[in-house]
Amino acid sequence: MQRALPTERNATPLLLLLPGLLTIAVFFAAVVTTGATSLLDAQGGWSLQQYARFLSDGFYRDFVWRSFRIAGYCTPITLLLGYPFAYTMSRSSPPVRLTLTLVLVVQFFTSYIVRTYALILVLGNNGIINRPLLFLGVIGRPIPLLFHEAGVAIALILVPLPFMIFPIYSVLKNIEPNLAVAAASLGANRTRTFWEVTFPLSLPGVLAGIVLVFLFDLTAYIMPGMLGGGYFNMIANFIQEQAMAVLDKRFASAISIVLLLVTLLILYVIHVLGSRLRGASG
Amino acid sequence: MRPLLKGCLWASAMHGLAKLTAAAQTTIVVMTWGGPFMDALNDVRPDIEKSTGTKIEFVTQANSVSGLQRLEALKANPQVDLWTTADATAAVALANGIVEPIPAAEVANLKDIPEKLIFPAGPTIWSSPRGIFYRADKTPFAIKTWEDLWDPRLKGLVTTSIEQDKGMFIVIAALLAGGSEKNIDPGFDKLKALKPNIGVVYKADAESLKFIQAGEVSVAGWAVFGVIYKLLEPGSNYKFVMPAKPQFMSVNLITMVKGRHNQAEAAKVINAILDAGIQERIVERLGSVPSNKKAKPPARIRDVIPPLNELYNPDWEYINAHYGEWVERWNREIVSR
Repeated sequence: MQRALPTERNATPLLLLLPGLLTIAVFFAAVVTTGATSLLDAQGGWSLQQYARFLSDGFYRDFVWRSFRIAGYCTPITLLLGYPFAYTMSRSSPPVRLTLTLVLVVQFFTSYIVRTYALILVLGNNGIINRPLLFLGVIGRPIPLLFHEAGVAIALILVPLPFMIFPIYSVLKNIEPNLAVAAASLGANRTRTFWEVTFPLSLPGVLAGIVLVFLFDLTAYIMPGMLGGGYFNMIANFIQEQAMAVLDKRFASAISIVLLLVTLLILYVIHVLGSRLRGASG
Repeated sequence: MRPLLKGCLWASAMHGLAKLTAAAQTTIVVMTWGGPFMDALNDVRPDIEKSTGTKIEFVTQANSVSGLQRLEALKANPQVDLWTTADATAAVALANGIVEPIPAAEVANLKDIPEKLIFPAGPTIWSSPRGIFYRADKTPFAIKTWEDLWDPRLKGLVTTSIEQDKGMFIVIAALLAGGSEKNIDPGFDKLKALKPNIGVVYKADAESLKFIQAGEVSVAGWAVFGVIYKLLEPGSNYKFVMPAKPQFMSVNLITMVKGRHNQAEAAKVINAILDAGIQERIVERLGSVPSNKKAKPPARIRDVIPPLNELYNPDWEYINAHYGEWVERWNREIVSR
């Protein structure tokens, strides 16, 4: 009996890992299938034709550039909005913290489609931004906030806010409060304490939030689909159009693989930058 | 005690018999669109089950193309017997061996379906006029023709779609400019002139109404009647126009999926759906035109239904082969800013 125990102990982690590994295997198989499809030519032979088609045409490449560009500027804005919120949550009294958490949770669990449609009602010609301005005579015609990049950007800043706030909050609330007290006792004011103690210690949460929001924005489909009005399609919309409307699966697969590779590269860069920042701060 | 025991045994025997009967009853799986389409078919399901002796189960598809992709993925072992789809997609499915021609001899009601509405992939179950709908109180003039969409007074007020009916809006523009699906350049030139008026492009028909209700635009330039059917009450600000020429109707077929074993029962279900009484009930809910000649269309649609011989019949095979190029041209030439 005594000898059986170590074997049981060794087998348990494997058994626990199995469902997760199987799930990953299914998704990995999907990626491999997509990759293989992207390499097929019309006759069923192997070819890089679809990649050449994509990379040689600026019109196609622009979908990738546009997606990275909007994700690139929306993510820092989401961080600027999310960090103070997370900081306030971590420093609030339990009732206030509960209220703020509830506000976030309600948003988090509301369908993207509902949230995006709600933004149409807010940002639209008759929305709560345009209507008071029109009523007050500040503007003569509604400000066009929808059906171009601005509307999509507003959605990509607001909708993924919980993905930024929760990771930062979870790190901030675990920072030892005595560290700030110690910094103050050594003569640091609140601003210096924040920038030299709190913020560096919250970097793991900030980086996690940046990665989550960046990926959310980069692969957004519903928001550009609904708020872009056909005039601002991102890479996911283009892939969907090729796969589901044009029925060109080989080209859609090639674009998907390009997007995947570029995303992995960006994640690697963020990871390296994050490691350096953490190294520099501590 | 003995009577109680006897009663229990009797009840168990009856329950077992009922289960056996249910198991013997064939189940026909029908893939169709959700929302009002599913509701309309669900409404007539009990009568179809009764008349055919089969059980019907519905599965939904987001749109015809997603239905086609599901059937392609399950081609080796299809889980669906019957599939309702758009005529353009049905043509692709037939060419790819996803569906097969229906056994016409077993569908007696086909005799009441006009020949023009029977396609190689299957018969039409309903069709919907395509035209223009608009809000009269938000539109500067009463719209009557396709050309009205190009009126400068409609700057930014028009919504349209090329995904609905596989680019038929481009074909309509081409026809207006002297072209056709086989001579599409005049259509694109015509659409370039429409660019200032297009405020938003929609993918699904329901979106066209949503954008108009939200006040973003006021005219849907490639509208399907069924979407605003229920809003066309007397005195309503919503108006539907089916311009004189060219005229087109979205046609939905019922097709038989290849490789299923219940063909005889599936044919019975098709026959029941094409029955005049069942057709009337379906189209009353959808605001569509029945395909059975003996069935009456809903009162509100009667004025806009064009004669069948005046409808434009596109060459779907040609359109399917060129749709990818058209989408690309649309993206490059019309919606790029």
